[in-house]
Amino acid sequence: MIRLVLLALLTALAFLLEPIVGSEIASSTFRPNILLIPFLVAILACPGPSAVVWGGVIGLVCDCLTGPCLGPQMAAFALLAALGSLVPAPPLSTMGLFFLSFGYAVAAEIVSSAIRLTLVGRPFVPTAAAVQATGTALTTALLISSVWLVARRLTRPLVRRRSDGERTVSIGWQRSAD
Amino acid sequence: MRRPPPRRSTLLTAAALCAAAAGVSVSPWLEQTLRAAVLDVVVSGQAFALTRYEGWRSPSALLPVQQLPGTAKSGALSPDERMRQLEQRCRCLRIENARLREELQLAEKYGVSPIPVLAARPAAAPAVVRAALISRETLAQWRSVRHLSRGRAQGVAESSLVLEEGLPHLDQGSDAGVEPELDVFIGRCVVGRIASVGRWTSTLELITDPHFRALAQIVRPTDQGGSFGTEGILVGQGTGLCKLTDVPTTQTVRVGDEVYTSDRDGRTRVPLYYGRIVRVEEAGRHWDITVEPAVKAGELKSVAVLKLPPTFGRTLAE
Repeated sequence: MIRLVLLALLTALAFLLEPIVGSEIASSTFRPNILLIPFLVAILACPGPSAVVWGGVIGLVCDCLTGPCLGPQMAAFALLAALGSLVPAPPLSTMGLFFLSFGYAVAAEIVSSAIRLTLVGRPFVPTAAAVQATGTALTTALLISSVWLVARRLTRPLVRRRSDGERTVSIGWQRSAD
Repeated sequence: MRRPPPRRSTLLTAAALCAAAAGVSVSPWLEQTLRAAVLDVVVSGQAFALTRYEGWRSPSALLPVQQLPGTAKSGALSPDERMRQLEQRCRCLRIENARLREELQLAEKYGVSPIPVLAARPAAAPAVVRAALISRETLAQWRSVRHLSRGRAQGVAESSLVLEEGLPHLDQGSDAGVEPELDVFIGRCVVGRIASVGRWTSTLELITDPHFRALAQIVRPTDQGGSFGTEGILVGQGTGLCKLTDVPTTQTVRVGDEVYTSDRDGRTRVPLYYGRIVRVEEAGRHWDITVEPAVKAGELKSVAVLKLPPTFGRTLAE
């Protein structure tokens, strides 16, 4: 439950920060897609039905903001989240996280731009879309991995201290049992 | 290792969401409601975040909307008046945005001058004569005044007062420097032009008058401000509306686009507002565009007459 609350907060933050990132980073190719971050985190952190629902919600909001009609990105993001949830994932190292989020981000970017361009009647050029998606996915995956790495570094002392405390308690219990 | 999610419920959820997406796309009412709700929440939140961020970056940017000259303090304004002020401010910013975009396009095409270009100092600033509209009662009184028939010997010439029927009258004439064809405006909106001039009075040809013709330019409101569109000729219809003619169907025109004075005639230094496009229909090779003027003639009490500076007058005469 707490994961979903955090995911909701992350999603809200992503939608709020999206125009700021857009105004600060001029290059559209190497600009991280902030809206994809909660989608990727949902697949990686809570795979399954909740990730699918989250993908659908984010796709629906993207449809409302950018698409000419509602539904296509919602369905596409939900299906991508389902596929991402069903793919068996290795233990998550930082590199593993980077490659997984990069792959999902590339897929989401290409599908999203294909849908948007097709619906407004503009030609979809796969090469150009792939280049654009690769750049965006690269920066997005880098951002996610960096935050993950920093969070791990910051929380490591706390984890060690907690395990020390647990050991003390267990020793005390052994004594009282004796 | 991640705990494997339940495959069946994941697929069922995805299928349900796909069905929901299809349902949303089929129902226009649902689509409109959802889009409006999401846009309300997300866009207002984004605007708030962006404003706070810009305010944090440069505190001077976080000022309230600038007070327009000649308007009351915003605290004492009703919501309608406040909305009107904001619309005016938006129009000014759109024009400024379109001008800057045009400058940027020119700079991209021709490069930036290596020598710093100082802002040009106008040879002569255009002057403005404020004139009040004469009511029908006053006109009727003037027509009945006996001394109009006294003739030149008594110091009254035929052209001292212009008393044509059917056109609005202004209380300024050639004595105040008013000349035929001068532009008449109120605020940033065009009212019309001077039709005929007497010594003390003049008549006003409104932009809705069937004889009114003027070069006009479309300014298209976009997500990123405004951009200059194509030019056309604004023609009065005599019905309270105008037509914008000579706009080919190869140009993009939309309902809601704004119509301003054109830069090309160079009469006003800043574009002045004519009105908003309310209807666009295809008529052969040109659009049939109906423009609703911003100024309603019945609401006018006083206007400003834009006098051409001497250099303009000389150039036109030459």
